[in-house]
Amino acid sequence: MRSSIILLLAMFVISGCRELVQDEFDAFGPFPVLNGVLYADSIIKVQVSLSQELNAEQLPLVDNALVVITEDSLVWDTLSYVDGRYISSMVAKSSHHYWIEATVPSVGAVNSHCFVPALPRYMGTTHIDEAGVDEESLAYPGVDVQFATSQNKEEYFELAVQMCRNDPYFATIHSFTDPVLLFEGDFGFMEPSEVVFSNQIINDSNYTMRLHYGSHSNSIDAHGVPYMILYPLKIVLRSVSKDYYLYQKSRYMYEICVYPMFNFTAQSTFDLYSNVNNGYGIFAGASSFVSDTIFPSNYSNN
Amino acid sequence: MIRIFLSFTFICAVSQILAQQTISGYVFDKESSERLIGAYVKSGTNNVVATDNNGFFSLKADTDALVEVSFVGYNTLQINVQGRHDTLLNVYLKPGHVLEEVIVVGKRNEKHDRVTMNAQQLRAVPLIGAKSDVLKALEVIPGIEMQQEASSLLSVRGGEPGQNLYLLDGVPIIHVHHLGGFFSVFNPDIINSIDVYKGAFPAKFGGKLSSIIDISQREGDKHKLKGSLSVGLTDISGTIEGPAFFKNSSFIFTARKTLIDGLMALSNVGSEDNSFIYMYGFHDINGKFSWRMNPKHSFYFSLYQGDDYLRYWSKKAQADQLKSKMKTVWGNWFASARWIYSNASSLTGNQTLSYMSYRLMDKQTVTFYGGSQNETLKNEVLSTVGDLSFRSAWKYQPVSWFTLGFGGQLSYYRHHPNQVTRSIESNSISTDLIHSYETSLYVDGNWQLGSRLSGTAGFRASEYFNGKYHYFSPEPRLQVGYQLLENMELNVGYMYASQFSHLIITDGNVMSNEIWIPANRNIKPSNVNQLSFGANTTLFNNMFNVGATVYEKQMRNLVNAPEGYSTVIGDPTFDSKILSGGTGSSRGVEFYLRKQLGDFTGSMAYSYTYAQRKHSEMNNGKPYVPDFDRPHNANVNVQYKLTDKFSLSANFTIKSGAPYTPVIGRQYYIDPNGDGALQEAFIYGERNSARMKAYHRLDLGMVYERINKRGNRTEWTFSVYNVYNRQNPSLYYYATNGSEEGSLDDFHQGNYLDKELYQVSFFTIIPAFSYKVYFDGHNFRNREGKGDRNMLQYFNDWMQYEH
Repeated sequence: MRSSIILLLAMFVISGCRELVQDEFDAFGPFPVLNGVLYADSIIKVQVSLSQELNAEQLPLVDNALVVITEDSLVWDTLSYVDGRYISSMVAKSSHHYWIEATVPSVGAVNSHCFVPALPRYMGTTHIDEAGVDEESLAYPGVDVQFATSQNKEEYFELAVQMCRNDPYFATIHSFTDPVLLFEGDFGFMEPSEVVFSNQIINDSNYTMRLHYGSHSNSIDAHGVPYMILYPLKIVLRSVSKDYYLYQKSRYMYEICVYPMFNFTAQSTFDLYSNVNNGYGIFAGASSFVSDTIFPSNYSNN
Repeated sequence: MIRIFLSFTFICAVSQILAQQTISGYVFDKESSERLIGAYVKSGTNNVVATDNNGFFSLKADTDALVEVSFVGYNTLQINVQGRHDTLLNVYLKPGHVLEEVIVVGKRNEKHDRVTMNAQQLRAVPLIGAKSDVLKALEVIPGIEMQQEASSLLSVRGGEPGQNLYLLDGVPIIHVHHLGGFFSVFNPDIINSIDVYKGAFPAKFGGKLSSIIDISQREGDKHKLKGSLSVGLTDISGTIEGPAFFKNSSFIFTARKTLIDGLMALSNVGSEDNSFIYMYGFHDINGKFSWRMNPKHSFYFSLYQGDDYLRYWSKKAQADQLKSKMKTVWGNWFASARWIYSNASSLTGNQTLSYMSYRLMDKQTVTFYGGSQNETLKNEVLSTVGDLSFRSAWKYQPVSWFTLGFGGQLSYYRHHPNQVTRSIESNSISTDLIHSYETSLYVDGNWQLGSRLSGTAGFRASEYFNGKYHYFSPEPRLQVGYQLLENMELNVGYMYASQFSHLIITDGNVMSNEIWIPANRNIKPSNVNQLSFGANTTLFNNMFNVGATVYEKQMRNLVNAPEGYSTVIGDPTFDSKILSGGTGSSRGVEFYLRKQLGDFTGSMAYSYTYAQRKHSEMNNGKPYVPDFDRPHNANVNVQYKLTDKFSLSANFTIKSGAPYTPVIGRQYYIDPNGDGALQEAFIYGERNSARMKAYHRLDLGMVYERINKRGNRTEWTFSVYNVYNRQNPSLYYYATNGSEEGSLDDFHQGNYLDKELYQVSFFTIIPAFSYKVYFDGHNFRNREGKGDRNMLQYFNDWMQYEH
């Protein structure tokens, strides 16, 4: 499909051309940019940088900001700058609120708030060695992940499949058929390494989500038939704050839009979500559950 | 006293009516018996009417009346009609070139919200591929903006492309362009006339907010079998027409097919670099059967089918393991039956039953040859719309100054917006078939009060049903004209209209990003209020026609795809994501100047539109410029008849650049699941807050007609599109200067490279030509030595000849 569209559009390009319009742009900022995700039971780390105009040199990281974090209006800490990040002595706790303020000398101050949700209630996973076959006749695996949700409040989750190899990595998710994921929106041609979703259309206290994944490793059997090599894996299920959820969705959209399907098609625009007042960036919270290792019935140890 | 006065007034009025007769009928081309739409019929100085879309007229006249019938390009005919009884006339005008005689003083049908274009005017606009195109020709009308090259998306008076109703012989068409807009689906060979309503729609029209584009197909020649064949760089088209089986019946059949698909496939077969064969093409097939059974009853049957198709499949050499093929087809077809009734006492009726079907289908098949067993996987994406409608329209003229119109519409719509079917059932995404219904009743009155005041007041009531959801739309319409001076008329128009299905244009896959969805509880019908004022006059003894219009319209419940939403296809919950409840406004001015007499004719048009949209979930809730906004739009179109054989034409268009959303800065962002590395992102300004470079181009055309050695009329058309090779921007994009392709990968990985803004231009200078040959009846007659015969007789002759 994609190839054919490229071919069609290439026809237009034969008689068209590309031309430089502008290489000088108006000044912009600088404005403080604060980025940080607080994971329950992990050290609090954030990054502070400055926004610049389009044609500025490398964006500057800020190493002299005063960054103060407050937990539930009771405990506070001033973060220290270490190797490009501001690190707190505090550990983020689930079900707690955090307020942060970063003051960049001669530029300004930004602030934000986040909530670190409680751990998700993971209930189990069933692995499916052949959950479907893709358009190139390659069978792909899937997992049915069961977890509990609340009927009375909004909840947000993130789900990923981590491949257990010497150097662990997240599998790509594709061929979406799960109604909750379809409701969240189409990922276009993206194959993300994690999916975020809410419980908005889940009407039961338990839900089983189907994910199809790719291990990034294919081979050909003795009959010349291609197949996907399966590896042991772990399920990573996170409860995430609403800001985290909105930010991740905006990040998908941003990346789909900014990379047009072809270099000569228009870039759509989608702003990254930000909950940082007076500046840009994201300050959000998450609690992660990592399952025990799951072994597909026919997996490779290599 | 009052009683006496009333009685006297009544007697006078009745006497006046009784002293008049109703003259009604049809105006035809004498040679082909084609109905002439927009011909003027005049009795006395100010009693002027124009024939409608069926070539029908009706006017009240004195018992001894001299009726003058005229039409551009035809000799004027004067008929003396005597008698007290109502008269039904069939008037045949002979083609001629006495242009000074065709203009009727005191034209009444020149309304600022309506433009009529006939086939001659359509052919006068030079275009790509040396062939006319209906929608591109509309670019010369002020207030109608073509979006960009390779697009026939029209924005009318600041509206959206999905707000235009395209009618072909009264049947709504959903998909109106080929090759992404390079051509429209309307084959110019069969077009008779185009009526465009930009506001104050007549009450018989509804269902769309911005415009009605009512295209009439012509009838076949009732006297002789004839045809034409046209070959251009892009396509080949042919027409055949002639008398059909019954007396006073005719048929016309046209077909058009691209030539590029075969060439593309051949070039791929011969290319060793390409493992696939691919091709693109389109075709249109139109047919119409007309039967004028008697002066009172006429029947029509019309067919249309047109598709675009993009196909690719792997070459055989590649098929040892895996063979794939893909077919994307999109287009519509319709069938309609129409009965027109008219009698001498001024009652006419037009009943149309039609079925239209639109579908977008993407079908992929992958066959895997795996030694002992083969496995075939199929994936099909389908989006369809079906429309079964019955329309009834009646007109009755009880008195000379008043015509009553009334009728209704009953439509059943069948939407299946986004079905995905895969051979592995668990991967299929089943979406519901949506049934909706629209019923409408309308009434309007067309009146002429005295010599100066005229107008139409109408009311349309529509009820829409989609499951348990229903919506009632009362829609008043008004058009008033005041004859200020002898040749100058002022107009005011008002309309309210509702739209019950929405065109969703998403950011994603260009092959499936235009989907029609019906209104429902979440996605409400859209509405518009439009008010317009206009003035037009003729100057220098009708040499020039000048007009100006100002308008304002307010739109409610506008529908958008959310920013970044890539496709509706396969999403069973799309209606919870589509953004409805948006508002929009546009106001503007339009000017035109037409030179309509002499060898040198043409038009100039300018329009200015100020349009805005607002939606709580777009542009942070702030108003923004719509995607299709081009505030300034000007066009100059001239035609010059050099000799009887040569004619020249030129078309110059200039308009504001399209809006785009600029990047104003950069920031770092994080991937929460990444390795902590910072990536760079653009910071965007407000939606559509910047504008591309202005668009302008000049096109030239030349037509040379001659009679060839065999006695056939031939026509060579030469055209040059974008004569001075203007690089008009079709789109802007940001890229780094590090690579020719402008990849942004380095940028997002935080590697510094200069960022620059580029434009892409399509369709630079394109010279083209086409050749057309006409086969008229005398060739056949000469061979057979016989007179006029119908299709059955031709067929019999042919059978005898073959045996």
